[in-house]
Amino acid sequence: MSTVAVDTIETLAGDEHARLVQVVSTITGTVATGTTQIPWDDTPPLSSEGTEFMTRTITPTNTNNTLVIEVSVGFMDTVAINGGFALFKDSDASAIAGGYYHQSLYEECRCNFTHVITGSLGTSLITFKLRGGGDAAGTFTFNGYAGSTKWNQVEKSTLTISEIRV
Amino acid sequence: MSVTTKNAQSLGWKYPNVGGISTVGGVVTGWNDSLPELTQELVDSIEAEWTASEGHKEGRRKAYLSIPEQLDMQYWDSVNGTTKWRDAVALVKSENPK
Repeated sequence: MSTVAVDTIETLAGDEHARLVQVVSTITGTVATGTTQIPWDDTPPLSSEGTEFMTRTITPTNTNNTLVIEVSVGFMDTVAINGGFALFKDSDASAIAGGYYHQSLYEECRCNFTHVITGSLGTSLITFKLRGGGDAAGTFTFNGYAGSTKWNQVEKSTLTISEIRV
Repeated sequence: MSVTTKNAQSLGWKYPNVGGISTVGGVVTGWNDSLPELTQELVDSIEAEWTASEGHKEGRRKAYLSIPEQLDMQYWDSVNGTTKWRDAVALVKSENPK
């Protein structure tokens, strides 16, 4: 876990070129597994479904700012599934974003998605949680293959949140 | 004392359709209360059972030719009256015995 905090980036003439307030991220190559499924239907995944694999907190500096949440995770399952990852905010029951795939038997996948929240952020700490799972009985593996780590963890999964002043 | 696993997929294989089983870095971090008590001996026995039942499958999966290649072999076998596809499959099975 790391934090990069920056203020406004300006030219020598004082022109503002970026409005990045802060960037925080969780980066991990640790293998993890879960067996709790996420149903394959037309409802948002629930916080009781799948397995929690990553979390990241951020405290917005201004309630009117924008958060850009970027997810990139590696996974596979030991059976063919429709599955992927869903993003949850604080204790909300329903997912606010996600990415799904059809994965064939023993096939490695990479799930990438971006979610943007504009305004009404508050200025209290927000916790984002990433849960993953498939829709069939098997072992859902995060950062690895069939429950085991591969490539000595050089493949990593990331959950990055950028706060942008508007 | 934590319970560890060298083969996390064996747990999902042993208890299909049972949620709540999770691991992080080879340590069992979640277990379903409906299952037998979690012990290192139980996990070790499940891994041994998995190896005996499923261990040969990964070797076969890697050794088999791709489906297009196998279909091509089957086509030419049918044209030429040969048994190259059947022989290739039999070779994979014999080199990766149960």
